[in-house]
Amino acid sequence: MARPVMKPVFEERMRELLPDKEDFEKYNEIIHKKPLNYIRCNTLKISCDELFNRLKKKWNVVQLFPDYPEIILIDQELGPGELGNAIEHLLGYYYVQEVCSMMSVLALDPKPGERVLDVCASPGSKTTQIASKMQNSGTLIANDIKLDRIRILAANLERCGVMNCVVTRNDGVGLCVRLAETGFKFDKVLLDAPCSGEGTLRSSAKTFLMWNPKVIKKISREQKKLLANAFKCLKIGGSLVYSTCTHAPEENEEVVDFALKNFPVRLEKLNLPLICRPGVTSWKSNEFSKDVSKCCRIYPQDNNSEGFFVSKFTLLDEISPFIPQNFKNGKY
Amino acid sequence: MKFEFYDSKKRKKLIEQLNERFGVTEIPKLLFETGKERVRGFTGDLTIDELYDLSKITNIEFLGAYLFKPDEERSVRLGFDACVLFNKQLSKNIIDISAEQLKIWMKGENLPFVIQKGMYLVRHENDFFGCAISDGEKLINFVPKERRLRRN
Repeated sequence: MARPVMKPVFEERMRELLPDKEDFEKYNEIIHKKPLNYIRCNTLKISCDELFNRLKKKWNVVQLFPDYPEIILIDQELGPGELGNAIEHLLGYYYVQEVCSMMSVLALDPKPGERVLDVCASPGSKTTQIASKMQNSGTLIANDIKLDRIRILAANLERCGVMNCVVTRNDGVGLCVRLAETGFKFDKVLLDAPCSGEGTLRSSAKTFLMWNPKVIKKISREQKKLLANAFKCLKIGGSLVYSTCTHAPEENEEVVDFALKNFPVRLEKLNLPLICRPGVTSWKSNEFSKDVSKCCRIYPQDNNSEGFFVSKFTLLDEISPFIPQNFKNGKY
Repeated sequence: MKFEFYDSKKRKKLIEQLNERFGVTEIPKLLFETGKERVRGFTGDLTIDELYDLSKITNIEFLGAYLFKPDEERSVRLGFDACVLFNKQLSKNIIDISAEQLKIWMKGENLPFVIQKGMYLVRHENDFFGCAISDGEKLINFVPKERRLRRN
């Protein structure tokens, strides 16, 4: 099968993000390789040590991050469906999850007893990770908009033994508005926003074909709207993690910059176990707040992973019902 | 999703059944039925009133996890995941199966097994693989379809 190629506009944008020629070549090489097989131990059902000791009898497994023993790399070629058809998977002892997608929840750092909202939860990799960190206590509200996606989410929650979760079906904006109006406030909010998916080229080659620059602007507007409303459900002093699986600055730093300029929030510096590059402070003709450099850009060539973006906010004050800058008539 | 929450009397009766049959005494505080005669448990800190308030402003599709299915004839059946979640409490009516039998069981097939009629837990080594009903000659399989081994 012919190797998929980047669309010219996409290549041009990536070269702008990765101006070093060698760096770009490394990127262009790795995005055509299959991603590594990572799993995450589901500590609601089994301890990390117990799972690791079981799996090492059948696979070559490695715990790369001493502070995060739940992250396990299967360092060998696997047959099709081998991870999903293993007894340990059927019992819900682990979740197959790309390592960079685990970073959002590590940044969010949910604790037992907290109230947490996952605005765009399906298929549930991060939701189950949150529940695991919460040890099935507190309350986790996991929302998504489509019923077919919610069924997948629910199946994953059942398999992982998640018992502290309320699964809701709403559009994210409407849900946040109603929750805020009725006084439901959360210690932590995860907004892993729908995005153009530029970071998923290794696992989903169709992204090469589907990528469209026009979509990025539209998604960026929706992401800002989601984020603006997600802040409303946060307790003062609470944390919100905004993440995407794309490299497009319009969907990442531009959204973060919008939040910094319109809401009483502080951007936090992140300490994640992957190599992170700072957020870009300018893109095309736009200059962003210098603070956006605290965001974390994860590139495939740095970590032998997929691509990802993570940022973390703290809400400093009550959100007043004002119209943010460039927010009139629902436009951003 | 419609919830019918268990009151303390109903909860106590369920615990008695679970204890008598399997040795389970600790279960989530909030139990409810959802119309499919299935008992789900919620370990979150929202009260029943807060859950009702939440259901007024949002579409609640699922709550907590499926744990038990009451069975008039044979006491109560534990769900596949409940067996894993409560594995440290399970102490009665356990059938140990071999690796070969496990392969058959996890494909969703009934297992030839002569034992007194009733509800049993299926175990291989330290793992529990759901409940089985014995008709005296075989163990009837309840492994959910999505959790069965795919045939190669």
